[in-house]
Amino acid sequence: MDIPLKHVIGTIALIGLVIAAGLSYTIITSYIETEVTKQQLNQIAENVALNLIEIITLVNFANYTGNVQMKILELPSDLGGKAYTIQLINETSQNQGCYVQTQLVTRKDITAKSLIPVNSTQTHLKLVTDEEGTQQVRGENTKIIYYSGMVYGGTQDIQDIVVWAWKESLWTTWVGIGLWKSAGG
Amino acid sequence: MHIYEYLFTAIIIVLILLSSSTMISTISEPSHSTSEKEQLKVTAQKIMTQILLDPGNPSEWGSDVDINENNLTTFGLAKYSETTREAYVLDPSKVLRLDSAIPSQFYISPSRVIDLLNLGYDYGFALEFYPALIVDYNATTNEVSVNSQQDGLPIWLANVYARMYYYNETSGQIESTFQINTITGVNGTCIVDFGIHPEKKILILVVDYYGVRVMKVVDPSGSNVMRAYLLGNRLYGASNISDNAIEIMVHRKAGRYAIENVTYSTSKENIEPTTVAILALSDDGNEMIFAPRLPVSDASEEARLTYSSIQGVELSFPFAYSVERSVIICGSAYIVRLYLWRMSF
Repeated sequence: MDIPLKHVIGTIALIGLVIAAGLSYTIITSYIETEVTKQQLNQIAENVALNLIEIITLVNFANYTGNVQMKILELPSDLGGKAYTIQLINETSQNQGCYVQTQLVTRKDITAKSLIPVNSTQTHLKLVTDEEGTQQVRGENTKIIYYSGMVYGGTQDIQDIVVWAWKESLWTTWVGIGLWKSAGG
Repeated sequence: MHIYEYLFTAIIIVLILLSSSTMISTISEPSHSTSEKEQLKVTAQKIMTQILLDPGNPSEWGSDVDINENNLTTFGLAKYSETTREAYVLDPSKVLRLDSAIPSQFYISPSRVIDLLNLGYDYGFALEFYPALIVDYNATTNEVSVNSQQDGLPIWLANVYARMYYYNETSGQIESTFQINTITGVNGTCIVDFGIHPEKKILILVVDYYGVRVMKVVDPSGSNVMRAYLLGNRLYGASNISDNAIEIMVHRKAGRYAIENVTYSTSKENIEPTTVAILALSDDGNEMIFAPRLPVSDASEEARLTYSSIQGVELSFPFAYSVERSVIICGSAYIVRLYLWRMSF
C-alpha cells in the first residue's frame, strides 16, 4: 500500500496536536484545582485565626487566671481527598508577624496563611508554636487538650481540633492549637 | 484526505481546547469570587473583634499621653478596667486619638495601626464612628430633630433633655440654664428654647429612645467657642486655660437623665466617669473653651469620624467588605463600621 508522505506527516501532526491539547487541558484544570484548593486553605486559615482572636479576647476579657478556655473547630477532614496541616507560626522577629499557615501534606507549594492581628513578642501573648504537651480543662475528666504548633487538619470521630488559651498570670497569656481527645491518647 | 482537511481538524481540536478551558475558568470564577468575599468577611470579623474587644497594650494608651504611636504594641479600643468590664464599651480617649484634628503628637496614624494589626501590605481598612441616632439642632429655630440612621426616618416620642452652658459677660463666669425635658413629635422634632441668646454657648443634648441613649455636645454659635481635646483628665489643644472650668456630667436620676456640672481642676486625679465635656475660660476671660469626650460633636447631620488607611478618602472605598457593631462610648450609643479591602488578590 502506497501512502503519500503528506498523509504520514498530517496524521503524526494531528496525533501530536491531540496529545498537546490533552496536556494543556490537564495543566489548566490542575492550575484551577490548585487555585480552588488554595482558596479552601485560605478559608480554613482565616477561620482558625478568627477563632484564635476570639479565644484570646475572651480569656483577656474574663481576666481570670487558672482556667484553660478552648473552642472546638469544625473543619473539613480533607480537601478533595488530600490531607492538610494547620500550623501556628511566629515570625515577629522577622517583621512577618504571627500567622496561621495551612498546607497540603503532599504539595508543600500549595499553602495559605492568615495573619493574627496581635504582636506576640511585644505583648503578654505567648503563642505556642514549637512545644508539645497537654492541657487539662476544668470539669472535663475524660478528654484533654494535646497541644502542638502543628496539627493535621480535619475533625474526626475520636478527636477534634481546638484553639485554646490560658491566662497564666496578669502578664502572660498562652494561646495555641491542639487536639481534643481522650486522655488515653 | 487533503491538506485542508488536516488543517480543519487541527483548528477544531484547538477550538475545543480553547473553549473548554474558557468554560472551566468561567464556571469556577463565581465560586472563586464568592470565596474571596467570604475570606474578606472572616478577616473583617477578626479585625473587628480585636479592635472592639481588646484594650490594646499598654491598656491605658488613650489617656496616657506619654504613650505615642511608637510605644503602642497592640491596637484595641476597648475600655480597660481592673475590676469590671463590659463588652463593646470603648474608651473615649482612645477613639479621640484616631481623630486627625488632635495635636499631632497624640495622633495614632493608620499606617501604625496596620502594622500593629499585622495587616502588612495585604489589606487596607477604614473605621467609621457615627451616633446611633441622627440628632440635629437648628440654632435659628431652636429645633432639635431626631432621626433614624436608616433612611433618616423621624423618631417619634424620643425623650430629649437639654441644657445650655454659656459665658455670662456680666459676671465673667460660665453659667447654665435650667434643664429642658421634652419629647419629639410625629415629625421627630421638638423645640428647646431657653429664652436667652448669649454669644458664647454650648448645648448639651441627651436623647433617649427606648434605652438607646445618644448624647451630643453642640456648639451652636459656630467659631465663638474654642475647641480643646480631653485626653485622660487633661485638656490639650488650647493654651491659657484658667481655673474657671467645669465638668458636665450626664447621669440617670429618678428615671430621667440629669445634666449637671462640677468644678474641674487641672490638678484633679480623675475626672468623673459620666463626664461628657469640659468647659473652661481662657486666662484673659475672653474665650470659652470646650472639650467634648464624645468622638463626634458636630451639629451636622452627617457627623461621623472616619479613620482610613487611604488618606483623604472618607466616604468612598475600594471594593470592601464591611461589618458594623453597636458600641457605647462615654455612655452614648454609636455604630462602628469597619471597611476592609484587599490591596491585591
